[in-house]
Amino acid sequence: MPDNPTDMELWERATRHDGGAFGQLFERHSQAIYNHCFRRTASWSSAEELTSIVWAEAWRRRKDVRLHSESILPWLLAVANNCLRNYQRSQRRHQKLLAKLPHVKIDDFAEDSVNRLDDERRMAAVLSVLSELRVEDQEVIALCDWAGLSYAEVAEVIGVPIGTVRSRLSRAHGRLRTTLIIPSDDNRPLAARPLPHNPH
Amino acid sequence: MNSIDQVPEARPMHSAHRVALRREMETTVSTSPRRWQRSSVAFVLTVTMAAGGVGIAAAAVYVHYETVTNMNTAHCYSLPQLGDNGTTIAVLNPTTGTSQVVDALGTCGMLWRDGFLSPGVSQAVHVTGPITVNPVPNLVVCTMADGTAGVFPGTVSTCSKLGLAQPKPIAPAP
Repeated sequence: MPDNPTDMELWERATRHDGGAFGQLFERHSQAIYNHCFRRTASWSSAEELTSIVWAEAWRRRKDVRLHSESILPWLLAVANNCLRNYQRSQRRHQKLLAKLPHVKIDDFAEDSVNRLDDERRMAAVLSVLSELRVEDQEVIALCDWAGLSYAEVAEVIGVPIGTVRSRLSRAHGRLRTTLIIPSDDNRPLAARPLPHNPH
Repeated sequence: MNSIDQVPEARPMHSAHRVALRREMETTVSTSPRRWQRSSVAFVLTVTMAAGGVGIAAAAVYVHYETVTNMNTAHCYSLPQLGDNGTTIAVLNPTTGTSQVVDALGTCGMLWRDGFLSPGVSQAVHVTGPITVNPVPNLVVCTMADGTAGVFPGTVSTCSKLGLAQPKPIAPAP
């Protein structure tokens, strides 16, 4: 068995009821899903719940998986987007799982609870600005700029040609530049920036 | 003025939640039934239409084994009977055409558990409300004349009483 199996290999094993393989995929991609959900909701607790729902949905819909790239993350983010759109229905469907998990509040993050509260305030402000854009343009900003996906991967997530992704992103950037925001100097996608130290 | 670059940086999940979620998912993956998903299976409940008065062949007194050769279809019976006695048959058709009946017993058990099959019900059961958990009787698999697997409520002698063979045991993989 390879030391560093690909997502495809792990997923193939997981569909044969290998819980350990599923666990490895979980470790690889949970943080990306968690932060994507936060950036779409501006709530860490909702992001935590949505991340749980995404994994449960991924398993429920395992026969729908079509990997177009090495990574399963684009498909997981597509599931996440679907869960975000149908949050309440997803909550009802997976209430048994959610009831088993510890409900974490901001206060439980003892050392960085202040930072997390600040995150939520800032994110809500950003989403308020972003809401001026078309919904489909907001989606490509979240996936390209914030999650750090390639154009091809974003195309896979939202089910459109790569050219459409480019044009949507260009339109969104243009609108943000000219009417809504002052871009900062740091052009790196958020996914490329270092993760702050966390005691957990 | 806001900037999308003011988006907060990535943070990890709370470890208690992450560990609990991973454990729950690993358990779910490892223990979920190895069967078709409800969403990927189209199942059709039909009522046998054979002419009345067709009796059941006299029960054989010996155990006869036959291999299940048709792995694409299984029959789930609500009574340990063949013929026109109102036996409901569920015919399972994989929508993809590629799935196989690898676990007829488990699949029929699912239909019992979810209320699609009930003891002695002589017609198709339409479940429109929420799925409820129902008692599953003891089920046995027999090899039907057409090579498919038939799953009946009954005991170890049910196949021979119906004049059917029991599935030939499959040798374990080396």
